[in-house]
Amino acid sequence: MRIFTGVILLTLSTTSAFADCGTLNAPTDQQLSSKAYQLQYRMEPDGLAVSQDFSVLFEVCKSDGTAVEGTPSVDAYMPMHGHGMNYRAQVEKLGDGKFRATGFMFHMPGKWQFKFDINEPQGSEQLTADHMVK
Amino acid sequence: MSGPRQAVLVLLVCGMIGQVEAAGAEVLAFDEAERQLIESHGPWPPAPRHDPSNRVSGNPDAIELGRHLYFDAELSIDGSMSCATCHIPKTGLGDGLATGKGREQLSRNTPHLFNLAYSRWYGWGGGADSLWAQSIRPIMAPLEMAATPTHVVTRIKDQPLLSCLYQKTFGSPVAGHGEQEGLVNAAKSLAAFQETMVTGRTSFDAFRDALLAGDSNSADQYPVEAQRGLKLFVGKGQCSLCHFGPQFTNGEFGDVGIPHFHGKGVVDKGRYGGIQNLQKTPYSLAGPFSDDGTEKTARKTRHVTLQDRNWGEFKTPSLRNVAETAPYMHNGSLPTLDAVVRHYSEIDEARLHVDGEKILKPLHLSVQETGDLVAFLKSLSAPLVQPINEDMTAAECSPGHTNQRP
Ligand code: HEC
Ligand code: HEC
Ligand SMILES: [Cu+2]
Repeated sequence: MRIFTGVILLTLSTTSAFADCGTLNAPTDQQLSSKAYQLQYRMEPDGLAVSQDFSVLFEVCKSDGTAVEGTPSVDAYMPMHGHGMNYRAQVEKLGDGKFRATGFMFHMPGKWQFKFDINEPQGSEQLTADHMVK
Repeated sequence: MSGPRQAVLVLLVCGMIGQVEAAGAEVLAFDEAERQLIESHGPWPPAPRHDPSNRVSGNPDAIELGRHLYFDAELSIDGSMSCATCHIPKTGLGDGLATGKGREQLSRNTPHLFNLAYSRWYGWGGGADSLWAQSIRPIMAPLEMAATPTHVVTRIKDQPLLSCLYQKTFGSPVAGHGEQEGLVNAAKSLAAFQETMVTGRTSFDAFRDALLAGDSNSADQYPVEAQRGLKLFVGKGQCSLCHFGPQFTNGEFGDVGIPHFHGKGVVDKGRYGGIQNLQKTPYSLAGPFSDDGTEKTARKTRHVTLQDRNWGEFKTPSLRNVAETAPYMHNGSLPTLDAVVRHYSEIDEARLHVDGEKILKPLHLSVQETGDLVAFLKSLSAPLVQPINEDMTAAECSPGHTNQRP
């Protein structure tokens, strides 16, 4: 299986270099980046509202444009109140570096912070993003 | 102008100002943040909501069946009590007691049943995820109606009106259904009836709409004390954080420092116990009795997580009609709204969870502020849009007769 993917990657690299990661790039998509990763995400449905359940569609690419290995996890909490959600989001792997996390619900208005935890063999990293929920 | 006439005029003007003030003709200035939160407490009434997990939600025959079951003491094992024994229409759909009275003293306060179609969780610990599941609990609870599925099904089968309404609603006589199914169907009818208990527009709702529309002539009908109380509610008091939205609840759970020990060493686990119940009950939305074929309604149940902080957390009550539903809190320990506001005002932070929410701190409200907040809470009352019909003789059920959609 691993060999098989390797072969595909090799073939692709000679033509359009890793075009599959980095396709979540609508103007309304949110961007996060670090030295090692580029992360794009969007809320489904669009826009955050108190006490409404939603999902997060996201994509994680490595700096060389390839898809992240493994499955990152996502959580959210209210930094000012010192508490998180009452629900745990479940991340489903969609392929090409894309994932869908379902089961979010922000139960208070105020500042919420998403935490994306990326765990790869070569190390782990956390990317965060703040949102005001009204 | 001569002296005496001037004096009369001055008197007249003073008299008028006096009158105007008595009517409270003043609209306080609300800043953008305050207006936004005030807006979020409406609009009211909300659009009717039918429960996808209950196929007879909104069905007029089911509502009529639910109404008869609600008042039927024979649903209990020994004919001793009905839903209406504890959720009394005249006393805010509660019982006015600190904690409920079943076969013995119960440990929790009997909540009202207003606007429950819009709730996410039911019971003080949220041990049920639908109104129909919550309606099964008291029927089976040993200290309450203490019935069995067999008893419920037999009662419906033997009582001609219930039996006729059941067949009309579910398309088959109750005898043709299994006992579990019969019990769940009875509960779904009870839920359909309770969904009709929607409260009307309050003086707060009129004020909110007028304020947003910039209609100061209507807005000034709302007493200025209530306006000051509202300012505290959305501002310094931070009450809107949990008592959020048109229902004045975010539908979730919190710890506001009400002790959850009752009796000798007995602890009410609150939300912790509620989640444990959800994980084991066959009557959850993730179980076989939900009528929702999609993932949607069960999502909350599948994703909710058991956390240490859930110990001693209780459901944030809706504050619509709160003035009609004393006493307060999960254990009924606070007798009046004044006592509730004073509790928040002097809250004992040591009683709150250590890793809990850094939201509640003593507000040290003045006597006037306390009165203002109470005046605001009292402005959230309105009678049911559709009064409860307690007349059981007016019922009709025949194959040709259809109950009217309310
Ligand atoms: C002996 C008194 C008693 C009887 C009888 C009773 N209840 Fe209750 N009810 C309570 C108490 C106490 C609670 C709180 C229970 C809890 O938190 O676990 C409650 C909670 C509820 C709730 C949850 C409300 C909310 O805000 O979450 C609903 C709905 C309800 N009852 C409906 C019914 C129905 C329907 C019946 C008849 C089938 C019924 N009850 C019979 C005492 C009673
Ligand atoms: C951290 C969330 C939170 C905040 C902030 C909060 N409440 Fe509450 N409120 C609750 C919870 C949870 C309960 C039920 C607690 C219990 O029974 O143990 C409650 C109960 C109440 C009740 C009793 C309702 C009933 O039917 O028993 C009233 C009234 C009330 N709150 C008003 C207020 C006011 C006024 C404020 C602001 C000063 C406020 N609350 C702030 C969560 C909150
Ligand atoms: Cu918070």
